Amino acid sequence: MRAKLGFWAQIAFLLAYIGVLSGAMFYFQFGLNEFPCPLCILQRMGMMLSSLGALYVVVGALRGRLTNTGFMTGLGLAILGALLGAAISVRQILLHIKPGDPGYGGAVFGLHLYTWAFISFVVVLLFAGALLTFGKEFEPVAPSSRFGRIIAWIVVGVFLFTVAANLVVVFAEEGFSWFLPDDPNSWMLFKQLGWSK
Amino acid sequence: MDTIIFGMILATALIIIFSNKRWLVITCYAVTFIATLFLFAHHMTSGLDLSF
Repeated sequence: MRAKLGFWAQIAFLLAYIGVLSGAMFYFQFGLNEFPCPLCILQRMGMMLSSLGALYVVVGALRGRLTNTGFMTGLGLAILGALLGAAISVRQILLHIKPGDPGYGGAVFGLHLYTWAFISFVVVLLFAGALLTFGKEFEPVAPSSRFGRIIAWIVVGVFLFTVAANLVVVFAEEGFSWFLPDDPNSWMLFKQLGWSK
Repeated sequence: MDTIIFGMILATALIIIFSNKRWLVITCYAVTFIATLFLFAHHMTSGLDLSF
Protein backbone atom coordinates (compact mmCIF):
# COMPACT_ATOMS: atom_id res chain seq x y z
CA MET A 1 0.00 0.00 0.00
CA ARG A 2 2.73 2.45 1.02
CA ALA A 3 4.82 1.39 -1.98
CA LYS A 4 1.91 2.20 -4.30
CA LEU A 5 1.52 5.53 -2.51
CA GLY A 6 5.19 6.15 -3.35
CA PHE A 7 4.40 5.53 -7.03
CA TRP A 8 1.37 7.84 -7.08
CA ALA A 9 3.37 10.50 -5.24
CA GLN A 10 5.75 10.58 -8.24
CA ILE A 11 2.77 10.79 -10.61
CA ALA A 12 1.42 13.71 -8.51
CA PHE A 13 4.85 15.38 -8.80
CA LEU A 14 4.70 15.10 -12.60
CA LEU A 15 1.09 16.30 -12.72
CA ALA A 16 1.84 19.30 -10.50
CA TYR A 17 4.59 20.55 -12.81
CA ILE A 18 2.54 19.75 -15.93
CA GLY A 19 -0.17 21.99 -14.43
CA VAL A 20 2.26 24.78 -13.54
CA LEU A 21 3.99 24.72 -16.94
CA SER A 22 0.72 24.56 -18.87
CA GLY A 23 -0.84 27.32 -16.74
CA ALA A 24 2.18 29.57 -17.29
CA MET A 25 2.12 28.94 -21.03
CA PHE A 26 -1.60 28.87 -21.86
CA TYR A 27 -2.94 31.38 -19.31
CA PHE A 28 -0.17 33.93 -18.82
CA GLN A 29 1.56 33.69 -22.19
CA PHE A 30 -1.41 33.18 -24.53
CA GLY A 31 -4.32 34.37 -22.36
CA LEU A 32 -2.75 37.53 -20.93
CA ASN A 33 -0.25 37.95 -23.78
CA GLU A 34 2.73 38.16 -21.41
CA PHE A 35 5.98 37.16 -23.06
CA PRO A 36 8.16 35.14 -20.68
CA CYS A 37 11.56 36.65 -19.94
CA PRO A 38 14.79 34.61 -20.28
CA LEU A 39 14.85 33.86 -16.53
CA CYS A 40 11.21 32.69 -16.68
CA ILE A 41 12.12 30.28 -19.47
CA LEU A 42 15.13 29.09 -17.44
CA GLN A 43 12.81 28.37 -14.49
CA ARG A 44 10.63 26.27 -16.79
CA MET A 45 13.77 24.33 -17.71
CA GLY A 46 14.51 23.82 -14.00
CA MET A 47 10.99 22.46 -13.48
CA MET A 48 11.39 20.07 -16.39
CA LEU A 49 14.86 18.92 -15.30
CA SER A 50 13.42 18.26 -11.85
CA SER A 51 10.44 16.40 -13.34
CA LEU A 52 12.80 14.15 -15.32
CA GLY A 53 13.71 12.56 -11.97
CA ALA A 54 10.07 11.66 -11.29
CA LEU A 55 9.74 10.47 -14.90
CA TYR A 56 12.76 8.18 -14.41
CA VAL A 57 11.18 6.60 -11.32
CA VAL A 58 7.70 6.27 -12.86
CA VAL A 59 8.91 4.69 -16.11
CA GLY A 60 11.31 2.39 -14.25
CA ALA A 61 8.47 1.19 -11.99
CA LEU A 62 6.07 0.74 -14.93
CA ARG A 63 8.64 -1.31 -16.84
CA GLY A 64 9.39 -3.38 -13.72
CA ARG A 65 13.10 -2.51 -13.69
CA LEU A 66 13.25 0.04 -10.86
CA THR A 67 15.92 -0.83 -8.31
CA ASN A 68 16.90 1.01 -5.14
CA THR A 69 19.72 2.59 -7.15
CA GLY A 70 17.25 3.73 -9.81
CA PHE A 71 14.96 5.19 -7.16
CA MET A 72 17.87 7.17 -5.68
CA THR A 73 18.98 8.28 -9.18
CA GLY A 74 15.49 9.62 -9.87
CA LEU A 75 15.32 11.55 -6.62
CA GLY A 76 18.86 12.84 -7.19
CA LEU A 77 17.91 14.19 -10.63
CA ALA A 78 14.83 15.84 -9.10
CA ILE A 79 16.95 17.51 -6.39
CA LEU A 80 19.56 18.78 -8.88
CA GLY A 81 16.90 20.25 -11.15
CA ALA A 82 15.13 21.87 -8.19
CA LEU A 83 18.39 23.40 -6.89
CA LEU A 84 19.16 24.90 -10.30
CA GLY A 85 15.60 26.19 -10.65
CA ALA A 86 15.68 27.65 -7.14
CA ALA A 87 18.95 29.49 -7.88
CA ILE A 88 17.40 31.01 -11.03
CA SER A 89 14.20 32.08 -9.26
CA VAL A 90 16.17 33.57 -6.34
CA ARG A 91 18.15 35.62 -8.86
CA GLN A 92 14.90 36.97 -10.34
CA ILE A 93 13.38 37.64 -6.90
CA LEU A 94 16.48 39.63 -5.89
CA LEU A 95 16.37 41.62 -9.15
CA HIS A 96 12.93 42.93 -8.15
CA ILE A 97 13.15 42.92 -4.36
CA LYS A 98 13.74 46.65 -3.81
CA PRO A 99 10.77 48.67 -2.45
CA GLY A 100 8.83 50.33 -5.26
CA ASP A 101 9.84 47.79 -7.91
CA PRO A 102 6.63 46.50 -9.55
CA GLY A 103 8.22 43.15 -10.41
CA TYR A 104 8.04 41.32 -13.73
CA GLY A 105 4.71 40.14 -15.14
CA GLY A 106 1.49 39.33 -13.39
CA ALA A 107 0.97 38.11 -9.84
CA VAL A 108 -1.07 35.24 -8.42
CA PHE A 109 -2.40 35.68 -4.86
CA GLY A 110 -0.02 38.62 -4.45
CA LEU A 111 3.13 36.75 -5.46
CA HIS A 112 4.87 36.93 -8.82
CA LEU A 113 5.35 33.75 -10.84
CA TYR A 114 9.09 33.55 -10.09
CA THR A 115 8.32 33.62 -6.34
CA TRP A 116 5.81 30.79 -6.80
CA ALA A 117 8.45 28.97 -8.85
CA PHE A 118 10.88 29.26 -5.92
CA ILE A 119 8.23 27.89 -3.54
CA SER A 120 7.62 24.97 -5.90
CA PHE A 121 11.35 24.14 -5.97
CA VAL A 122 11.48 24.17 -2.16
CA VAL A 123 8.46 21.82 -2.09
CA VAL A 124 10.31 19.46 -4.46
CA LEU A 125 13.35 19.49 -2.16
CA LEU A 126 11.13 18.71 0.86
CA PHE A 127 9.37 15.97 -1.13
CA ALA A 128 12.65 14.36 -2.20
CA GLY A 129 14.06 14.64 1.33
CA ALA A 130 10.99 12.94 2.82
CA LEU A 131 11.06 10.15 0.24
CA LEU A 132 14.76 9.54 0.79
CA THR A 133 14.23 9.45 4.55
CA PHE A 134 11.44 6.88 4.16
CA GLY A 135 12.94 5.28 1.05
CA LYS A 136 12.24 1.73 2.15
CA GLU A 137 8.59 2.39 2.90
CA PHE A 138 7.88 4.54 -0.15
CA GLU A 139 9.88 2.76 -2.85
CA PRO A 140 7.46 3.02 -5.78
CA VAL A 141 5.70 -0.07 -7.08
CA ALA A 142 3.64 0.34 -10.25
CA PRO A 143 -0.07 -0.49 -10.00
CA SER A 144 -1.02 -3.99 -11.10
CA SER A 145 -4.38 -2.90 -12.51
CA ARG A 146 -4.60 -2.17 -16.23
CA PHE A 147 -6.52 1.06 -15.53
CA GLY A 148 -3.86 2.38 -13.13
CA ARG A 149 -1.07 1.64 -15.59
CA ILE A 150 -2.92 3.34 -18.46
CA ILE A 151 -3.44 6.45 -16.31
CA ALA A 152 0.28 6.50 -15.47
CA TRP A 153 1.31 6.19 -19.15
CA ILE A 154 -1.12 8.97 -20.07
CA VAL A 155 0.57 11.25 -17.51
CA VAL A 156 3.95 10.36 -19.04
CA GLY A 157 2.58 11.22 -22.50
CA VAL A 158 1.14 14.53 -21.31
CA PHE A 159 4.51 15.43 -19.79
CA LEU A 160 6.23 14.77 -23.13
CA PHE A 161 3.60 16.88 -24.87
CA THR A 162 4.17 19.73 -22.37
CA VAL A 163 7.92 19.73 -23.06
CA ALA A 164 7.33 19.59 -26.83
CA ALA A 165 4.78 22.44 -26.66
CA ASN A 166 7.25 24.60 -24.71
CA LEU A 167 9.91 23.84 -27.31
CA VAL A 168 7.66 25.03 -30.14
CA VAL A 169 6.54 28.17 -28.27
CA VAL A 170 10.10 29.14 -27.30
CA PHE A 171 11.26 28.59 -30.89
CA ALA A 172 8.52 30.98 -32.03
CA GLU A 173 9.59 33.52 -29.40
CA GLU A 174 13.33 33.21 -29.99
CA GLY A 175 13.37 32.48 -33.71
CA PHE A 176 16.78 31.78 -35.17
CA SER A 177 18.56 34.02 -32.63
CA TRP A 178 20.90 32.37 -30.13
CA PHE A 179 19.39 34.08 -27.09
CA LEU A 180 16.13 35.69 -26.00
CA PRO A 181 16.19 39.49 -25.50
CA ASP A 182 16.06 40.66 -21.86
CA ASP A 183 12.53 42.00 -22.28
CA PRO A 184 10.85 40.07 -25.12
CA ASN A 185 7.73 41.64 -26.62
CA SER A 186 7.17 39.90 -29.95
CA TRP A 187 7.36 36.56 -31.79
CA MET A 188 10.86 36.77 -33.22
CA LEU A 189 10.44 33.79 -35.58
CA PHE A 190 7.48 35.39 -37.38
CA LYS A 191 9.43 38.66 -37.70
CA GLN A 192 12.47 36.87 -39.10
CA LEU A 193 10.30 35.00 -41.61
CA GLY A 194 8.64 38.28 -42.61
CA TRP A 195 5.17 37.14 -41.47
CA SER A 196 4.77 40.08 -39.06
CA LYS A 197 6.33 43.51 -38.45
CA MET B 1 19.97 28.20 -27.27
CA ASP B 2 16.71 28.00 -25.32
CA THR B 3 15.12 25.98 -28.14
CA ILE B 4 18.10 23.64 -28.22
CA ILE B 5 17.92 23.06 -24.45
CA PHE B 6 14.21 22.25 -24.64
CA GLY B 7 15.12 19.80 -27.40
CA MET B 8 17.75 18.27 -25.11
CA ILE B 9 15.21 17.95 -22.28
CA LEU B 10 12.79 16.24 -24.67
CA ALA B 11 15.54 13.92 -25.91
CA THR B 12 16.50 13.01 -22.31
CA ALA B 13 12.84 12.26 -21.51
CA LEU B 14 12.61 9.98 -24.57
CA ILE B 15 15.83 8.22 -23.55
CA ILE B 16 14.40 7.67 -20.06
CA ILE B 17 11.32 6.07 -21.63
CA PHE B 18 12.91 4.00 -24.38
CA SER B 19 16.34 3.07 -23.01
CA ASN B 20 17.22 1.13 -19.89
CA LYS B 21 20.84 2.31 -19.79
CA ARG B 22 21.28 4.32 -16.58
CA TRP B 23 24.63 5.82 -17.63
CA LEU B 24 23.06 7.13 -20.85
CA VAL B 25 20.26 8.86 -18.93
CA ILE B 26 22.71 10.40 -16.46
CA THR B 27 25.03 11.58 -19.27
CA CYS B 28 22.19 13.22 -21.23
CA TYR B 29 20.82 14.80 -18.06
CA ALA B 30 24.27 16.12 -17.10
CA VAL B 31 24.84 17.68 -20.55
CA THR B 32 21.39 19.33 -20.45
CA PHE B 33 21.96 20.53 -16.87
CA ILE B 34 25.32 22.10 -17.75
CA ALA B 35 23.86 23.75 -20.88
CA THR B 36 21.09 25.28 -18.73
CA LEU B 37 23.70 26.44 -16.22
CA PHE B 38 25.68 28.16 -19.00
CA LEU B 39 22.54 29.84 -20.31
CA PHE B 40 21.78 31.07 -16.79
CA ALA B 41 25.34 32.42 -16.49
CA HIS B 42 24.91 34.18 -19.86
CA HIS B 43 21.77 35.96 -18.63
CA MET B 44 23.44 37.16 -15.41
CA THR B 45 24.59 40.36 -17.08
CA SER B 46 25.28 42.40 -13.95
CA GLY B 47 25.80 42.12 -10.22
CA LEU B 48 22.92 42.87 -7.87
CA ASP B 49 22.85 46.35 -6.36
CA LEU B 50 22.20 44.91 -2.92
CA SER B 51 24.25 44.46 0.21
CA PHE B 52 24.20 40.96 1.62
